Amino acid sequence: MTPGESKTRDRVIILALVLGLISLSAYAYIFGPVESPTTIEVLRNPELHEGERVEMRGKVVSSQVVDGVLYMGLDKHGRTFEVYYQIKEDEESWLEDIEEGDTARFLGTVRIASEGRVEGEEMYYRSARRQTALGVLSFLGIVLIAAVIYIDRETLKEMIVDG
Amino acid sequence: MADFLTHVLLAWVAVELISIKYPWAMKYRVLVLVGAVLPDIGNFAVFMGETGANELYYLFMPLHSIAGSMLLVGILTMVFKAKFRKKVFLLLTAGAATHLAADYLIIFLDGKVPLLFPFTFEKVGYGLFLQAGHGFLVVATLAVIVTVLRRKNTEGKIKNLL
Repeated sequence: MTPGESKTRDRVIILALVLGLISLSAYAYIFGPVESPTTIEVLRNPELHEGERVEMRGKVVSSQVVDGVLYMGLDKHGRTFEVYYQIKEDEESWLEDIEEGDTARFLGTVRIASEGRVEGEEMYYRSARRQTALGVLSFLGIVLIAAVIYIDRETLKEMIVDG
Repeated sequence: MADFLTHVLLAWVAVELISIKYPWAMKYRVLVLVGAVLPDIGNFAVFMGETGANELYYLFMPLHSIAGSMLLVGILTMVFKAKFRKKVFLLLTAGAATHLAADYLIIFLDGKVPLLFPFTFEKVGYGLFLQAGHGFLVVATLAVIVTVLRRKNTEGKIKNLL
């Protein structure tokens, strides 16, 4: 194979891979289940229907655990939803640490639509305090990679295609 | 997702382990480290704010699956000279595999990992470590220390033999 032919073949392969990746994104966009973007649409639209299953994500504005049930005020676009969630046995240690300002996400069912009251079935949260630490650690990770790239730059240079 | 530092440290452990059998892997360690952050490159969309990040969600979501990661690894591999591509592909794949394996163990804010997308949208995960906790980072750091010490120890023994 001549250098020209090999370059063309490489370009065709790259194009095919990029198209494959775009196709995956398009497939996810068209056929993807209710996820974060749709959830936000649900929350922008105050029309909740009793018995409807929803997925919500927002800032915690209040939180209290009473008899193993977590009562939480969840703010999204200025509207506060009341969520109550029966804490599962293995979640006791971490769900009780929820504080105001944390981000919470849960799947649940609308119980009283007019009050925005929702019964949570599955729940996750991200601590605002720890989120800052997470950001710092991620930055350190990037710095570490950058440092290794710098140290190994000669090796990389000899490996990368010219032009 | 775990933080980038945890992913990079786990990738380093992978490099150390791979280099036991394939010593050349240490020379190209950066590829495993880069591979380990590839599935999360969509996270940089957070710089566009919450709305921007949500709008780009579907663009980057496939990268967090085996299929999406492999396509991205394939594209990156093509940047390298033909004679290196096999090694590059394998090392980037190893990095991406450590990332997906690590995220499999995380309790996520966004649920779990759509590992088998596009065959299914179902997210899977074991949920061993908290996303915002530092347990995983501690485990990864210890693993790096153990594997690096093991290598140094082995190198020392070889030098003594010579």
